[in-house]
Amino acid sequence: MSERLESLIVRLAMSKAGLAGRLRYFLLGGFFYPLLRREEHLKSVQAREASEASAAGDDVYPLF
Amino acid sequence: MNFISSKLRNRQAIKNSEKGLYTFDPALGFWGQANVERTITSGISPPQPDIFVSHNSDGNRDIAYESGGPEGSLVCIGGSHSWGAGVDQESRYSDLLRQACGRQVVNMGHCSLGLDQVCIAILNRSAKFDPKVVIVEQYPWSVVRLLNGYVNGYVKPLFSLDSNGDLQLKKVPRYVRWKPVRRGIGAYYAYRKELNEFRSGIDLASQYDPMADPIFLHWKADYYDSIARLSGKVIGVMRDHCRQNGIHLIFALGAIYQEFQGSNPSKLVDYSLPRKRLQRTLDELKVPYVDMHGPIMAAHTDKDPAVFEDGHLNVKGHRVFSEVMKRELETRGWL
Repeated sequence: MSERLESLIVRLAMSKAGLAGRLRYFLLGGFFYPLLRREEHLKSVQAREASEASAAGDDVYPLF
Repeated sequence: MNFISSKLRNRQAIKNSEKGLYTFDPALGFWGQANVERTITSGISPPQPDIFVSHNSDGNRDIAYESGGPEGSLVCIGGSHSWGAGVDQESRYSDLLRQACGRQVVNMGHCSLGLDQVCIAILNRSAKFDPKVVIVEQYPWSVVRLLNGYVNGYVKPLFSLDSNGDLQLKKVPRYVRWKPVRRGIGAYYAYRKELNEFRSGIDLASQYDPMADPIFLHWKADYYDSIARLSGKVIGVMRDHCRQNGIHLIFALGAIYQEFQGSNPSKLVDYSLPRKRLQRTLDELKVPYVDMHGPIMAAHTDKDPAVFEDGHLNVKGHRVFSEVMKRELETRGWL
């Protein structure tokens, strides 16, 4: 099971040396949290849809 | 520590010297500024004489393009090695190939160009040169650029694999033409990349040691296998495009800088890992390649090196590169 985003952000911040580094990463994490959260949500929805749909064909490049 | 600080200085110098040579590009994130001429300090270590850089009307560091006639042209594309970091234009392998083969050779190389941008440039931008052969110069470590959405102050297109394993392209948004917007997005991309790496136990942000870059560590292989899968799909797109258009595609894999520094410090560290992964991918896709590692290493001595201290090809390295490539193209009957 993958780690929760909130916990990951906290752990990354706590891994930084010094108070200033930790504070900076707490702020960055808080600032970017909505975007990260949205991306994680989209990924989980895509993964769920993929597991429900049958995968047909191979080497399909939808964008080209 | 001196080694690391010298690397960081070099990197900064290279970035500084590129100012004014690059501009926003809506398809590729950045591309060479057209019709500029600069004499720049390349930042290569040890310090080298300033080099003259001249971009043609296509934004390439190259002579003006003239049609190669019915024979078409050879298109070379890659990163700073192809662009010719630290060397004059005439000393680059592409220019030496042009002299040796008597064919039209186009150099589309640009500093920090990722495999994703190489792919898009081949698809969108090479047709005007009527290529018969496309040579993709790839420094094996550079495959990590596939994960970087922000390079040298520019937001670049990003490929990813969806949950079905299909390739998806996140194009460059139009609004990143403005520098402050790019900076904001770049900060987000940088943070997201660091967070993803941290999740996989990789820390490149603090105390980076190029000799212990996680791409060379066997116990980090899983993380980089995902890049190998992605690069396989991207190379597959290039291969299919070239097949459909009657173009011969060939990769030239460079020698990795760390391999010039001595043997692997442990069995768990292997400086040839990224090259081996890339070779495996190319073998699976049946895309031909030339491994420049052997020839460049064989030509390299302490007294007469074939690369600069930071691993970029010097004049001798470019000469060896062009000779090996010419032989390979002749053997294949592509000249």
